[in-house]
Amino acid sequence: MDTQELIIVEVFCEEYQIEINLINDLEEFGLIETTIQNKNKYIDINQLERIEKIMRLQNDLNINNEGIEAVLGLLDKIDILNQEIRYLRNRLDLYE
Amino acid sequence: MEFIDYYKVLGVDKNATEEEIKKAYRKLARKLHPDLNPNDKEANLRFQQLNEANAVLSDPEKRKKYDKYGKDWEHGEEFEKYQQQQRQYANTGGQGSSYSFEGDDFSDFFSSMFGRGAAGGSKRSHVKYKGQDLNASLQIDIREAAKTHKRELSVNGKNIRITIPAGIEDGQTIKISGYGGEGINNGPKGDLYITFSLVNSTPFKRVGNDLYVNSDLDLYTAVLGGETTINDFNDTQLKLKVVAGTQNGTKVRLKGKGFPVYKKEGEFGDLYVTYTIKMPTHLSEKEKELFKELAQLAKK
Repeated sequence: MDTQELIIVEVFCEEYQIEINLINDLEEFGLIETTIQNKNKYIDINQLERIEKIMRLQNDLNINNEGIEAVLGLLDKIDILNQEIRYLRNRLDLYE
Repeated sequence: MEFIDYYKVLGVDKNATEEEIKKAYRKLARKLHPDLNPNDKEANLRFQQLNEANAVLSDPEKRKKYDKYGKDWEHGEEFEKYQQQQRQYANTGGQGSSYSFEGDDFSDFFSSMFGRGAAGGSKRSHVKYKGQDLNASLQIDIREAAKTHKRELSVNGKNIRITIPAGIEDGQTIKISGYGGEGINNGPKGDLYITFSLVNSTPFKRVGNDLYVNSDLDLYTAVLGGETTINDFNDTQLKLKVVAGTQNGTKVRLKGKGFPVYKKEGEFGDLYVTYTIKMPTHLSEKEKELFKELAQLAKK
């Protein structure tokens, strides 16, 4: 069974020096997910990269939540397309 | 150390106003931001130069110094004097050195002109950031890729030992957490991304987890049926039954004889064998006679 590695939201916010409201806001907007266990709110460590990316996009480019949602969606699509290109290139090798 | 024309980087005129510089920076930052250009080294480098250009040109004092000494900083006597002053300033613990970008975030040119701690005032200084992600590429033989093995790599002068799981694909990238650049403002270290490029000098073609190979089949076995042997990817001889009347280009699937499935121990793709029927050449008189006889029979 896979184990989930979690970080308490307060600890995360302290470490990254951000307001808890930011996490609540991102969660409310559906950009990230949190888990509640024993009345504590946690962030899955697999989400860290995504949250850091969101913070960079907000700080560096002043992109709002709607824009970030669109950007992340398009980046996911690029990722899928790149995988598809890789698969098709390998297939094409068969005929070369 | 190469001179960097910050005006050119931002695509603005030397007389550009602060507003024009701000606008140009924002526009290019949206285009070149590393998060929007993953694995694009060129864009990452240009974004770094863009940040430098903005840090210098959006600050009137730094811009003045850049305009005055920038191009001739290497020879300028005054620039030397300025550098000396800067050093004294830094030693006395002057303000403006709170920015904690380290390592390769700014070019040598920028550091030489303004010192390592010269980009103060950025929003970034308030937030802990993960260090820069590093990208590396590694070429391995397809036969090595078929087995889980360890490899020692040297990344930025540091030796790291990684385990490459069997079944890695050509062009696949794996992430090694914590082996990237140092974190900013005590943030966590970045990650190392290794992209694999597989060299294949075997007769086997690989598509996903399946392998494809061509095998010659003599005419007589193809017509009458029988047996043929092939070597699989691990050089194990396999005996295959050939049905009578096998056509040229017939494909046979050998289940589980393909490439190992990535991170799924004991699972393998399939091996597809395509028969190429070889026509007999240099026929003897007797053979010619017999073929003629066969041809006559086929006409009837």
